[in-house]
Amino acid sequence: MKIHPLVLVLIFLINIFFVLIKGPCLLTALIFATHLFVCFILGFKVKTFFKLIFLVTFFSLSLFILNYFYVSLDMAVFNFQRAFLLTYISISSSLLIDFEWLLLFLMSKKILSPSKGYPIFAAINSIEKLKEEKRRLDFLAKMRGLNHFRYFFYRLMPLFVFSLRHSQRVAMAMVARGLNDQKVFYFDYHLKKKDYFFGLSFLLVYPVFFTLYFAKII
Amino acid sequence: MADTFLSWKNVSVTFPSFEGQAKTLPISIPDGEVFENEFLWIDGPSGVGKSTLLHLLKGIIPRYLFAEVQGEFLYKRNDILKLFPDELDKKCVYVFQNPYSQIVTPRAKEEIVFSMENYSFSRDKIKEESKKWTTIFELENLLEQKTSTLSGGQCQRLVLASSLACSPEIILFDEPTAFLDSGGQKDFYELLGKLKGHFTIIVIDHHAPELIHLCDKKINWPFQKEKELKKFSDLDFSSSKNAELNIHSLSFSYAEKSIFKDLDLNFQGSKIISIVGKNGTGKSTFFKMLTGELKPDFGEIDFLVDNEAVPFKKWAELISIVYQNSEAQFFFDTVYAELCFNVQDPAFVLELAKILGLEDTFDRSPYLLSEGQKRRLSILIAIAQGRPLLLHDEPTYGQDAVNIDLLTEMFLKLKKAGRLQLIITHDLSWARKISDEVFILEDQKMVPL
Repeated sequence: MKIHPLVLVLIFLINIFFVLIKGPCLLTALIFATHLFVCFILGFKVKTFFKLIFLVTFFSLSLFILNYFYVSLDMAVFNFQRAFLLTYISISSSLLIDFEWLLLFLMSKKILSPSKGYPIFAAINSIEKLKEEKRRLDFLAKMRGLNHFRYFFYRLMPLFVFSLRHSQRVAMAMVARGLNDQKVFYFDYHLKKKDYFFGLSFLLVYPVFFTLYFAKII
Repeated sequence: MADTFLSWKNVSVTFPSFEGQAKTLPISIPDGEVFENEFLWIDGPSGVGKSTLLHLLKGIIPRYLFAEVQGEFLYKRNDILKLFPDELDKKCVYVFQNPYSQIVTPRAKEEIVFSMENYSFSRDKIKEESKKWTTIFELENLLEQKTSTLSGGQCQRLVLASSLACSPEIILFDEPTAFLDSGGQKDFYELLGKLKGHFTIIVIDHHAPELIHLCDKKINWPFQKEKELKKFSDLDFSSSKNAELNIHSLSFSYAEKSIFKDLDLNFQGSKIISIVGKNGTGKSTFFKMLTGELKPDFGEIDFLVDNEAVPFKKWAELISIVYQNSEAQFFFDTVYAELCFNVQDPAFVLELAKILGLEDTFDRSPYLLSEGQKRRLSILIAIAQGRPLLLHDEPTYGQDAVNIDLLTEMFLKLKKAGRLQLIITHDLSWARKISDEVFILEDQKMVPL
């Protein structure tokens, strides 16, 4: 299922906001459960889920240990839960939000100018390119006997050069292909009925949670 | 008589050094003129400044790449070196040499319409043009694909389609077919034949016999200075160990798209093996598996040197590879350092570099060479390691006829010295000339031709 990133950003921001201000409690537990539900209906894989849980637990445990030794057990437990919820929601949100779609939407709505939006695109796309280049450079460094620690900077420099040259070339290509702020958009990046429906369902569910919480029923 | 559309006279370009002082030798551009809707072909040795001319025409120099330009460059009698007209910017599209560097958007379908959107075409026009050019360049199946997953040839087709779709008046092509397979090259020149007379077309390309009949005018870029062509015959290529590759039931797929299925191959001894195939069939992927960059889904690759199996961890010490992107090979700040690092016989490598026309570049940064020079340098870096197995991905890309002959001679010498060489190329006639065996990669199989 694909939901418009704008709707997801709003829902995830509400989740993060309540975890931040309320900390671990029944309300945030309900919000977290809803977040998990959203993750899975948006196509989160079980493997990714467990990988993320492992990472988040590891990070939160390190906070727990620090708090346990330097503050108290209660604070350690509190911060463990808080860190767990916050990191899980933040990382899973960044994985689920289609930032390219979001940028195109913002540009098509003239909220973000194309002369700023497309360079951000290029930067996002270059992450994958940098990863590929890094793999290639590692092999080449090994091939040329540059895999020793003392050649660390020699291995790093080509990556810097690559990123600089890549950005220069993409910028040149954008200019050469006529990018300007009067650009029109052919594809439709707007919210569809199902996005409104999805967003509205949260507008109904969350008030129920808040009412239950503030009425001290949960 | 019609007015000259574009003309340039006594133009020379000097690139500044980092200190801001003119350091490089000025690039002299042969005088030329083009009338409206004429077809101009520019040919000449690599590294002489052909791309610089197109950069000037598109206004990239001096607006975005700083250089000292002298001479006169006229567009409809206006000097574009003094003030680059907006009109020319809109009417002129430039297809760069390296297709990877032109991709801007995340998906292919957005890339097709990118230029048209920039020039504010109407929705109907965008729809009509994108459909037309998508069909011509056979891109229908790629539209939903992420641009980062496209092969070099697929990127090239996508960029060409996108550029032609925005109905330019002047089209500048810098080696447009370098990454295209032979079928794609033929189709592209047939297409240019149809476009001829409707646009002003300026093409830089080497060894393109199709252009002889297509062009109205040709500029033959002269050599900067007469050089005595040296020969490899004076050099002694040291003999190498015997390499062998055994590939059993190799299967691989990218995101559920099967690339190879049950490949069984054996390459051994001092041979040159060429691999040809359409764009996107997985030629570069095959090399990535040989270097361990990608792992096969099923099957095994055994690498043997002097009949002894080499453990996977040691492969990098016995294989040399030349990637499609030459710059990926460079680690140092001068050509000299690149050539001499960790090399058993630097004098021999430097001699090879001189024969390949790199002697004037030893103190320059490898990143500042022309595309053709970069390619030759990356080949030399790979050869200098003295490994028994050499993998070349498109070694003739960006090379003029003289340099292709030199490379051919060098590869044959290496073969005599006992190296096993696997070459990916789109140039079937060159592959037949140089190779002991030619394989074609199609329908997930690699079959001998």
